[in-house]
Amino acid sequence: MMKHSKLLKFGLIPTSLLAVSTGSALAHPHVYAEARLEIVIGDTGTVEELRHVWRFDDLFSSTILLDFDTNANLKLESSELLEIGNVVRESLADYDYYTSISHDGQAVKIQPPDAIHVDFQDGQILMFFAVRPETPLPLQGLLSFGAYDPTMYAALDFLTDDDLVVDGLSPGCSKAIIRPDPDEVMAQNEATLTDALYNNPQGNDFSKFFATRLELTC
Amino acid sequence: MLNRHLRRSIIIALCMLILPFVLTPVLAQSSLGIGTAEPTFNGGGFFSSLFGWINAQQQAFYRSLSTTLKAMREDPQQLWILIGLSFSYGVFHAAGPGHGKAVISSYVIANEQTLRRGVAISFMAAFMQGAVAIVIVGVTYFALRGSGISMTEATHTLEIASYGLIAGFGGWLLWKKLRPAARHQHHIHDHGHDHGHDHGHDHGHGHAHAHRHDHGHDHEHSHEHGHGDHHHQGASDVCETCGHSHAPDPAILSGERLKLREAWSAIVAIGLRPCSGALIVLTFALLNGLYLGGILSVAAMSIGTAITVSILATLAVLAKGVAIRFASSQSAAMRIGNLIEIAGALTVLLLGLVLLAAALQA
Repeated sequence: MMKHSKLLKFGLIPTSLLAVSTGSALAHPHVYAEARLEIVIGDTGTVEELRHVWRFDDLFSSTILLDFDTNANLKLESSELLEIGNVVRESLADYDYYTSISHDGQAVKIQPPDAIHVDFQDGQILMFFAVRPETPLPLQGLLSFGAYDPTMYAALDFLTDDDLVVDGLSPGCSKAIIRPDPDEVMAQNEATLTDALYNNPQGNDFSKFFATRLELTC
Repeated sequence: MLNRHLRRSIIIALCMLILPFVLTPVLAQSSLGIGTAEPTFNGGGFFSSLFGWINAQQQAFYRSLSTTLKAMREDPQQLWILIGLSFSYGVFHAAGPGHGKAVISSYVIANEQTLRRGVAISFMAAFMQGAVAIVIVGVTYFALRGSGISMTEATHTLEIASYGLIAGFGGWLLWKKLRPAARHQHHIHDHGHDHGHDHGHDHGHGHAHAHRHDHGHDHEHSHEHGHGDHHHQGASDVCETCGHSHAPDPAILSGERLKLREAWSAIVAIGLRPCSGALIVLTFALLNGLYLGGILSVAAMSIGTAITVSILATLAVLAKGVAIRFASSQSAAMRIGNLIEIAGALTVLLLGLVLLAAALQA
């Protein structure tokens, strides 16, 4: 009764389910960080750099302390902090340094940061670094800036609107901070989201729909 | 004998049952490069919104947990709140995507397990997870600090061992199920069981190689390709086994002692990989001298997890019972039961392989 074909078919069903669902990803965050994003506009009226500051939660920070405390003194010295920065910089390269910039809906490429600076204050890991657009980005049209982890491992929170700031914004531009309502996003983008879930092998990018962003209209 | 339509509808029903469990693994390594992430699953459509809601609950618990732990440094009375929160966190964590409940549910489906045994396994596995978390953090803190072996690495090693064991366990369950099924076939050749046994082993090795290979040359896309490869291999291996090995070995198939050993294999395979939440809470507790708080918090989490997993395992067993009751005849019922059990075993195997692939890529 267990003919090849039947078993094959039977085996293929859970198998194909696996294949179909590959690509969707909604890991639950294990890491929380209070984030601050500062967009610096240069004298030439282009976006010079984006400065990130992330303050990680106490619990996660304590595990990092234990993991990187190579000299076992329960403190993180400069060499140990440097090591954390290097590991993070290398890893974030695959995730655009949690930075998303778009110009009139087109994604803008960014240069890798020179370094990710790490500090340990009051039991919390602090990271700060700056990224620049790969090519000069003029203040024209609709510019959108955001910081989020596409894999949803880390949840970056901009607690207040003051945590998203623009330095040197010309008077001709207007600034808006958008905090998408998840239910609305789901309703409006059902097709796109489903598409993103099934067709994007890296999967995770639909989290951008839910991320807080700063928009400049010039 | 088995009505074609019925069989099809049973298969569909089974898929509905497995669907929430057989979902996507996410990177075992965290995107940040530091800290432990555990591979989890996610379903599309309906399940993504369900998991989304569970995620939101978990975030809320995690935040409260973190606040309470910090408050405990000054006010030990917060211990009760901590225990309550940890329990709730356990309940919700287990309801979210994760490997333990999927493996246990599939295992109890794959076996003629009594509900009581399913519940007992769920509890034992959850307690073992808690105990392993305590051991990992304790050993890291007291013995490994400064040794160059980080908690993340220790966890990762256990994770690979756990997923390898799950895959092996699934393979063994499948082997056990397919052998008697094959015995029912008409074309019995006497190849002897050595032959079949070798097959089983080769099977496992083949998969392991496939993983490493993918890992080596294609980081970005290896997830998908890797899976495709397994499935093909998996499916054809199943067929090969089905066609060629027929040695009955009643001695191995019976015996209460074996069942017990099997249950323990499941418990160890699942319990080896502790949940990251427990590790994080324990680390923080230890670094802040909250020893009792940390241990009680993990114990409460384990109980919460065990309750949820038990409920899911119970549902799985009941669903199987319903499917069997739908059968038109006794022989059909037996066949459906068999199919469901094979699917359960196959699910354990696939889950183990997929998770192992994800873990090895990290």
